Amino acid sequence: MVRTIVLIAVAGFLAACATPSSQEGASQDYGQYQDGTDHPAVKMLFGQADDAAQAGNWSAALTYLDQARRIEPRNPYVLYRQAKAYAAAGDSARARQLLERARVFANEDDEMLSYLLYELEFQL
Amino acid sequence: MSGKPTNKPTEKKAASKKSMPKKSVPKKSVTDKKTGKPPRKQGTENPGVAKPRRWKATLFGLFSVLLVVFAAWLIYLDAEVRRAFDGKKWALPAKVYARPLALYPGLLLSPEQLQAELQWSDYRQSATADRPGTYQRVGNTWRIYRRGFPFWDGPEPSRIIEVTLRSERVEKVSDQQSAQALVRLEPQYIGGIFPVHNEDRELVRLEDVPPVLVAALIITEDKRFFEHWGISPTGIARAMVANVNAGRMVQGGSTLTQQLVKNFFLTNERSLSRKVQEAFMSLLLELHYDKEEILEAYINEVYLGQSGRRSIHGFGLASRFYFGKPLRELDNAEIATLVGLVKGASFYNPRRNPQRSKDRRDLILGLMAENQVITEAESLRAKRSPLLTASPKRAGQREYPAFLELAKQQLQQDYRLQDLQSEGLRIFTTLDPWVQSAVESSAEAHLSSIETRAPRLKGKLETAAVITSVDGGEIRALLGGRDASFFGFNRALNAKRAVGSLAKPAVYLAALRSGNYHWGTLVDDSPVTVEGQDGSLWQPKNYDKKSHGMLPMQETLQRSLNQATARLGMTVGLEKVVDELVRIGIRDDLTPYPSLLLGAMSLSPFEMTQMYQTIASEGFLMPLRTIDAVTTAEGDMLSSYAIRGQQVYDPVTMEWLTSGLKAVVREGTARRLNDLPQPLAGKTGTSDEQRDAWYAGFDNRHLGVIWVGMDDNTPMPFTGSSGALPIWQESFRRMGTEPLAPSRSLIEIPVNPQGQLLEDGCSGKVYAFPASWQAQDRIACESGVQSIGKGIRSWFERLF
Repeated sequence: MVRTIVLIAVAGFLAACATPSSQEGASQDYGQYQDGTDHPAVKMLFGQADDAAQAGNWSAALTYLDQARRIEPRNPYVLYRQAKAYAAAGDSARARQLLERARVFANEDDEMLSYLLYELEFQL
Repeated sequence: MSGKPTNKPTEKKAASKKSMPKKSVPKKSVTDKKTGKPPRKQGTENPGVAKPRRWKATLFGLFSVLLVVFAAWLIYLDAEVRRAFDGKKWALPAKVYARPLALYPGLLLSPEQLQAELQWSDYRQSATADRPGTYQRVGNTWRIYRRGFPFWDGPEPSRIIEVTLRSERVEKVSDQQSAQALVRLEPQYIGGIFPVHNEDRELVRLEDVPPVLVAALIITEDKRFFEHWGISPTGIARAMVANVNAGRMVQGGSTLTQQLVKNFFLTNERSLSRKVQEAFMSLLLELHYDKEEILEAYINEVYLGQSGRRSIHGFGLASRFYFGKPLRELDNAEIATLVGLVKGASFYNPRRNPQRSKDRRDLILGLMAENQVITEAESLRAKRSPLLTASPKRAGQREYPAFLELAKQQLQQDYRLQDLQSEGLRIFTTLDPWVQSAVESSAEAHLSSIETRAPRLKGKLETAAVITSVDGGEIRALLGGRDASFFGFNRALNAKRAVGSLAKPAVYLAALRSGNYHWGTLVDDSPVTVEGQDGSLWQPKNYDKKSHGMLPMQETLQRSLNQATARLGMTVGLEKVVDELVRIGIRDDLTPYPSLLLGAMSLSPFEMTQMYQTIASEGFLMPLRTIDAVTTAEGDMLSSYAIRGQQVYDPVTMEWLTSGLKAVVREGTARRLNDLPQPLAGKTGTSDEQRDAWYAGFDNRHLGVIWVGMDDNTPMPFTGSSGALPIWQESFRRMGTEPLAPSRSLIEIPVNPQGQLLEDGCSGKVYAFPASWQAQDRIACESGVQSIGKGIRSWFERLF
């Protein structure tokens, strides 16, 4: 219970700091977890996904991200970004599934995951 | 692929179209405006002259009627010709591609794989690698001139890349300027989704066709093409003389236009009426369309070969099919070989009838020189060159029927079959040709070796295999039967076979999840009798016909003991086991009979893959998919598919279950895998009376499920571990094996022979446990027999 309250508080704080959630805002959010990888190929694909997302081309962003996932299938940050892109494209059910999947590989106290789940829950 | 040819009529042609009906419409007859009847002419009452006049009138009437009928027929033909030609949209089959090979530092990649992938993609080794489609190898470094390719996420131009391998991995990828993070080779073509007649073609525009080819075609097939109006009376006369002399049809006087009309609109029937119709249609075609349009249509339409069920139409595809390169890269000898095929694609097939094909080629080269299409010297040089065709092993020379069947099924969830057959869509799939090749060759090698030892089995053994990626559920290979090129019964999808011990992990999963068992818990492997719902008694036996008494649960799994598993399943509860099977991904109706515990249910290899996929991926139930993306013929993305699924199990539970499956490989029925990098996980399976041999197992990257059996269900003289496991072993050896990653969440706790948890550091067999078991009461090292608190004792004792 205490843990849940702390989580919600942290999430709320992060949400307050976050940029507004317009589509443009959603793509800007990427910057917060830009460095979720050390893999040069995955970084490159993240960059391509960012460019596509900024142009509002979510389906292109998603194909770059899934290519990144094939290279680092257990990197939660790849899954975060995929979830984020699905949420932005209007598929929040799939976004939630991917965040649940990311939980398998994320650290137990991963604040980013809590934030993203919170964001999804309240449709920020 | 080239774009569609422009065969829409120009304005000029539209004007000529309008003038056409005027010519065909009979002249208007003059009628009496009041009665609508022809006016009586003077003198018709004279009986003396009435007869011949009436006769003439009748003749005139008859003639008029015939004229009208003829005109109507011409109008009909004209409409047919224009409708077909204007609206001519060749049904372009969807082109299906394998996954592109993504090269990045760290990728597991053997030199053999890179070499094979280049060969399959039609790359040629050359000393300089100075044009697209060539490569050069110096030691561990490959310099590859990659071709340009329209990927689903955008086109990429051709470029030179260098790949360095070290210790079976990519060490470095660079282009001419700098190191590169990621470069893709273009994917291999693996088949098409063809319309009923299985016609395949690659459209080309006339301007992309080498002028030498056009000239060679014309001088060989229809020298007066640019002069005649669709038919050539001299050609017909010549053919008639030849036919009369021979007493049968030996020669056709057909122009290119007539040949096109025949292919386009008519059947192969050889009759006078069809000939007449063909002649008129040719004239009409020439009336409406210019020579270039007709030629372009011909070049795309003509039949030039057969590859299994796929018929090769047009020079564009024929060039790729026979020589592995686009039309504009053909040399004179290759052009002459292709033109030679027009007369008889099968008769002059350069692979099956090389001498005949070479003679025809040389004849055409001679004609080309005679007509100044090429010089005499060029002709002689070309004649001296061998009749080389590209390797029949390369991509596009074979299909992957089992995989294509599944891909087609999955595509039809989003696309109409008709569109898949005609719109020239480009389908990017998950197939990994290297993995597919490894499985095909391993299966064939193993089955052949069994047959050598047991000749009575020759030709009777069948197999099926599914290989997927552990984390994404992408299908990397699918084997529907022993003959990988057979379009027919796909055992991987449709053979429902008894799964035997492959189902056992569900029993152990139910036990682990009950909270009452761990891998060191003692389980009783002794004769057991269970009464079924219908009152029948079920008494399972072990493979060795013996009972082994009290054993740690892990050992009963790794030895695949039937009596212990049945007892365990009944103790945990049949319904609980069925629940796990459903939750893990088995969608078949499962009747909860006790024999289900030992796999008395019939499922396909594909369905079994689904079950093990959930285990291998630590609890993520995901659809097994074949499609990555679909684009239009022009390269615009229509859909892309990425990971989807649901986390149906706590990953810790799945890791715990996997630790038992690792023991199966480490010291159990699959220990013959010990010569591969460890750890690996898996389970052997053998159905009643050894009718089915199975193995399902995974490394860090791939999951593979292999089945071996006979279509008529005859028992075999071997089990899962000797029938199916060796195929898995050899496949993974060839593919490259990556050991399973260390557990993230399990801890190790020593357990005494009574199944009690000991304190850390005590001597006892160590088993994997979820971290939550850390806090369980344990007993001290010295008092191993003492039972305390919630210590886990053998539950079965009081239950059975």
